[in-house]
Amino acid sequence: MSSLKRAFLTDPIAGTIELPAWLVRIKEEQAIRRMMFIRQLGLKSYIDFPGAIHTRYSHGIGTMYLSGKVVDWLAPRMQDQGMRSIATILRENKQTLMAAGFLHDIGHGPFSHAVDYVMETISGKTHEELAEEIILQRLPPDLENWFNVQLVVKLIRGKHDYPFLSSIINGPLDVDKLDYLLRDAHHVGLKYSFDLDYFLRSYTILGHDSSPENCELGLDESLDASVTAELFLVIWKSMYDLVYHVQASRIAEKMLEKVLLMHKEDDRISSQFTKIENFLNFDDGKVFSILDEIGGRASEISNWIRSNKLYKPVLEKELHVENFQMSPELIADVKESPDAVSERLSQALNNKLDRENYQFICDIVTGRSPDEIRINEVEEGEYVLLRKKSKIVGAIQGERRLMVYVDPTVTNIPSNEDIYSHCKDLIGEL
Amino acid sequence: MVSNVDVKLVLSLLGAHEGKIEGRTRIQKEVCILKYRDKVPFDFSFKSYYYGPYSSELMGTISDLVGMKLIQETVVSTGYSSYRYDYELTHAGRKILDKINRTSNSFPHLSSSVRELEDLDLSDLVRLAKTQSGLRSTSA
Repeated sequence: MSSLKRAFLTDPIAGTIELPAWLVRIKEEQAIRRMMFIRQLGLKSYIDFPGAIHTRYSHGIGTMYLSGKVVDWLAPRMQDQGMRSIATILRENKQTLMAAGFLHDIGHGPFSHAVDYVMETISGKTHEELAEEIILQRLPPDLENWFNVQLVVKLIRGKHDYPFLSSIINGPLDVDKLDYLLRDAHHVGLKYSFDLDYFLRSYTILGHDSSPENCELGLDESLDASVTAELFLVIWKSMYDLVYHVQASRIAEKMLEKVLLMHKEDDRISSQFTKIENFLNFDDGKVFSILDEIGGRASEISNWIRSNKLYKPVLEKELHVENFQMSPELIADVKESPDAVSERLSQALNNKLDRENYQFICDIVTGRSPDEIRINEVEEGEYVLLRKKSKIVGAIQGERRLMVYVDPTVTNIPSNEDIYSHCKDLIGEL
Repeated sequence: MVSNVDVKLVLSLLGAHEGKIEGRTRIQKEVCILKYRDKVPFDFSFKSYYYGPYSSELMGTISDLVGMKLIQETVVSTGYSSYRYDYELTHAGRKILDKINRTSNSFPHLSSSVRELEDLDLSDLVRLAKTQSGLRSTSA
């Protein structure tokens, strides 16, 4: 370990960062390098945001850096407040938390979230489950010299025995969000920001030192904390509306998802998701080359995405019971997997209109509402929820919309009213 | 994991309260007590931190039902910078609940359990939820 030279890199968000020794050890590994070839915002950088060419690697670096920063802030603070066990746990787990921050997205498929549903359909695994497999099986075992690899996996999966540690990586105030909001906003060219250091000063651990297994990451009970958290959540919500769910990119992502699903039986596609050695070579560029190699409809859609020839939106309707009759079963399915319901509806709509597979694509877009954040104030024996103190937080709700897109070469497209009427019938039958 | 039984039960819970429940904490604690003490088949998982049992899945489902316009959320000011969130079945929510009650065997002892719980004040509910769930923290 001592023979490794100190290494630094510069980052547009965090500034100069010294790489921990364990990262110097693994930075040339295939699984690590692969993250440099997966764009953080996937197809959005090809369609709507040409500046957004940053990658999962740089997001991992930023998340790692912030994990360390949170520990450096919280450990002495908890020590000063007499929570010595909590402070010790934080210090002892600093490298583990930083590793979890860096590695949390190592299981992402090409174009990031664009292939999440395809990955789950073909491999039966989420990107978090794939991350576990890669970390445990494909990274050098001597990482144990620096941190507990099993605990890294637990942190990423939100299953650490100490929830306050898990929620630093995976929770309502996690460093993942702190990094991706600032990083994505910077790269798409939106000057959204919040004062990170000021916000982190409000972070605290709620609970008692004697039972760390019941402690949780929360915020101070102060105006500073509430107002900064409101700003953070408003930016988070805005990024979903203006960037993550922006329409043209979203259509391109759905085109990619459907063309991959169309060829899910083709070994050239399926083996990328089912064989780990293939997955480690499967990056953004490889997707297009495989689709081109398959030819036919696959290369046609691949070319359309690259030349910005996208499906056309033909329906946008809020998805609720005033617009569509929905059974409790369907409501639960939509909550559990909107992509799976979108897929069923796409199939049903093309059948009903007697069209070829995926000439029409149905897409349920789910707005996000924030997970609950608790503050350091007790009422009725419980820590109070931030929304109880903030009407702004309470007002951030996630609505759902049903979108329908159509192949740009299709003629005789039914009217919007007819498509809506077909979708109403089909949703009533699902 | 949220099941359609959970969706039906949340609507039924509101129905048993004559369509309206005041406050998120009350919903959380009642569902917890109904699940653990009265064996009402809610699938929501509860976690215990220092503040006692809490289910993020339950809150997510309620937010969803609000988004689906089956439940209406009203924010009530309870003092300076303090708010309570009340929930009421909408007309569409009542229609679906009627259908649930007609087509399934419903949940026979839900109403009687709810009648007992609605007489308890919030601090008693919190205490009971901690005791019944076995998720009581060591020194909260």
